[in-house]
Amino acid sequence: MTAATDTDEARRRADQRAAELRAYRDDGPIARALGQLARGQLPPLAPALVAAVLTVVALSLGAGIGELAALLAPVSLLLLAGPSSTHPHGGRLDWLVPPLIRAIEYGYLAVLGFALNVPEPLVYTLLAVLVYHHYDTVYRTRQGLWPPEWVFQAGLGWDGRMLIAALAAVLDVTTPVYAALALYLGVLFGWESVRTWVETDRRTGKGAEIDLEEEAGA
Amino acid sequence: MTFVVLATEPGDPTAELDFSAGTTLLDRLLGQLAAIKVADVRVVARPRAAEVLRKNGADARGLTVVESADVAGDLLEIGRIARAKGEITLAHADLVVSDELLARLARDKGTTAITAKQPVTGTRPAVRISGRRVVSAGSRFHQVTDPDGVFRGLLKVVESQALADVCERLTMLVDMLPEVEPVRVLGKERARNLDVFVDTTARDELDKSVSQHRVLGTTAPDEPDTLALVLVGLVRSGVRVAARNVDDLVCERALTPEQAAAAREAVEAIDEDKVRLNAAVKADDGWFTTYFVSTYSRYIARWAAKRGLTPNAVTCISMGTAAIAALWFAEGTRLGLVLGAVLLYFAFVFDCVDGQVARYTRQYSTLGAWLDATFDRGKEYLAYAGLAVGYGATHSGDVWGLACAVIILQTCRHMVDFSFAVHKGSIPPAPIRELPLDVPDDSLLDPAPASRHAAPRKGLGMLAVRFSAALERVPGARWGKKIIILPIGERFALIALTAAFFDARVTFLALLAWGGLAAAYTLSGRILRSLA
Repeated sequence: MTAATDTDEARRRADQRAAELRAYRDDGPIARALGQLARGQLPPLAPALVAAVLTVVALSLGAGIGELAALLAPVSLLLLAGPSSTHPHGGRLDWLVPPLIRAIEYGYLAVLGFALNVPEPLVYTLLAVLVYHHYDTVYRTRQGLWPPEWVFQAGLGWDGRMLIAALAAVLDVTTPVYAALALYLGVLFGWESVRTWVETDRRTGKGAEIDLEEEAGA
Repeated sequence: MTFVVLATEPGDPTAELDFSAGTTLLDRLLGQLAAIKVADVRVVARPRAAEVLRKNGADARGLTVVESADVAGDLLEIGRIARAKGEITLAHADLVVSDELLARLARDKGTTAITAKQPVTGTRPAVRISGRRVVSAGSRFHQVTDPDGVFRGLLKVVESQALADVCERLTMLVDMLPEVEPVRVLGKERARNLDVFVDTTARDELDKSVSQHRVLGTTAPDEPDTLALVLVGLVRSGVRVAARNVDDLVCERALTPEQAAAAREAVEAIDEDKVRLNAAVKADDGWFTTYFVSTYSRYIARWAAKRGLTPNAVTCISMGTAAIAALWFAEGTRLGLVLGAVLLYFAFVFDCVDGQVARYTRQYSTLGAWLDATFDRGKEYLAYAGLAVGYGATHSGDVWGLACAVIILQTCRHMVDFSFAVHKGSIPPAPIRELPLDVPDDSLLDPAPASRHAAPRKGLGMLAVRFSAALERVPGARWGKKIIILPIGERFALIALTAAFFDARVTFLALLAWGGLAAAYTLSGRILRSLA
């Protein structure tokens, strides 16, 4: 192996990591636009941590003094975590960012839904739809079946989904909006994913042994 | 794929020894290769062997015979074939190998040598293995320091360009290389002052004990082993060669009729079906899965395979069972909870069985992998929903909030696993140290004296790494480390047991407590490791 192939290999691995972590982040159109503005210069971890703290504060306040504080959470998260969407995520702890964004998004949608008396099974259903999409993204990238760009756009991203939920809270239409989101995203993610997998199976048929499950130790 | 067999022993080809009445060793190998659909078989043979093979009807057996007068000629021919054909597998023509081992090698994706962790006999090429990779390989001209296994004469090469280059260089070198002692011992004690210590008495003792063993003592070739040279060349030029252990299977050369008979006996003594079935059980499963499912799930897998059930059908049975379990959970009564718990356990058993059927019958598919992984999540999250509905139906309060907390925690824990795996995968593996082919020993691979005397690395991260390594040595700690992260088997068991004996609230609180502990443990460990 020469030094040149070594750096090529290192670059290839870094590109792969950036692409996968970006897919795991599941940024929507707005976060991506902010990311374009920042040109990948803004490191992702510290802003995401601040956003997590702000979300917790906003939600604990928001339950008491009305919905405006709740609206602040997605906006602050968007402004903090959005611009880092184009960052290569090469820092030693940058792998924490996608799970952090997931925790904020799920936690926000759940707490907001419960605070505004959305039927609880509906909150659970919406979470299940999102969870399906995020697992599916991982399983697919592992097999090189990247979800097409339009799925991330149409799926609205964490930014879009949280903003819609917050607006619904301000306009006092949370329940119908949660129902509409669950239905729309469920059909979108489910249909697109099942179609892709069935088609891939028909095209490739029997393959090598694949293990998509992973529960590694520390 | 091209298969190259070497008939390079002087005199009559050992490949034509009888394996059983009317079938020679080579016939058997050719039959095995035909069974795994290898059509292109070439024999590199000494002139005398080539003559015999042609007389025995090489064309009728679909063989291409290439004559070669000496080791340099063998290397030249192998290099030519590699350059022309790409991926090739190399073996001795007198090799007796289990079907299962050939099948496993055929599925290996990278360059792989069949090895055995056993004392070096002095007649078989020595290898040192580390992290499932051949780190150093030996031949008549190349010494191995502290070997811990031998090469068994079967080698699959994917990097065919590297192989062709290696063969070219070795062709020019091989006649000038001096013979060396095959083994150099650099035990931990002696490593301190780096004295080169060659222990021939120990080797002779080993040879004696091994030669008394019927099967182990079978190999004593007269010629320098061309295959061993090829392996040395690949390993020393920086190709990653995986070491596949023979396990309970057979991979032996037979050089005399007695050895052929012994090898046949060894092959027939093995129940390959049983070996395959045992290998179908994942090796690194959790504690609950290992002791409460894997002890018998393989027999269900075999039964299912015999009935012609596909892995995907078993996955669907598992999903269906879990769905019925969730319906019973949704009843909320004691009977419902107990029945749901039992059904959930069996859903998990079938979840293990589907992968075993796939590995046992070698039916891997993209859709199957996805179905298995997705339905696993589906089963679990459906059970949570069922439990929450059931609790609401029988109690005044409800537990949907807890159910949401559990699904969020569990998904985020998985996302940490996935993200960390991406991070780990992006760190390039340590480069393989290359060694010149004309240096007899491999002392360049010895640990550098400076690093051994350097102060140990400090910091919290290294402390965590050391602590984790120290834990490995405590008996039972291996299971402890697995159980604490609440793997899927433990999770299903926890759901089933708490639901059957208590109620959904206890289930969710237990999942949150244990899952929270697991998250804290894995996160802190991984953060420290990332910083180390």
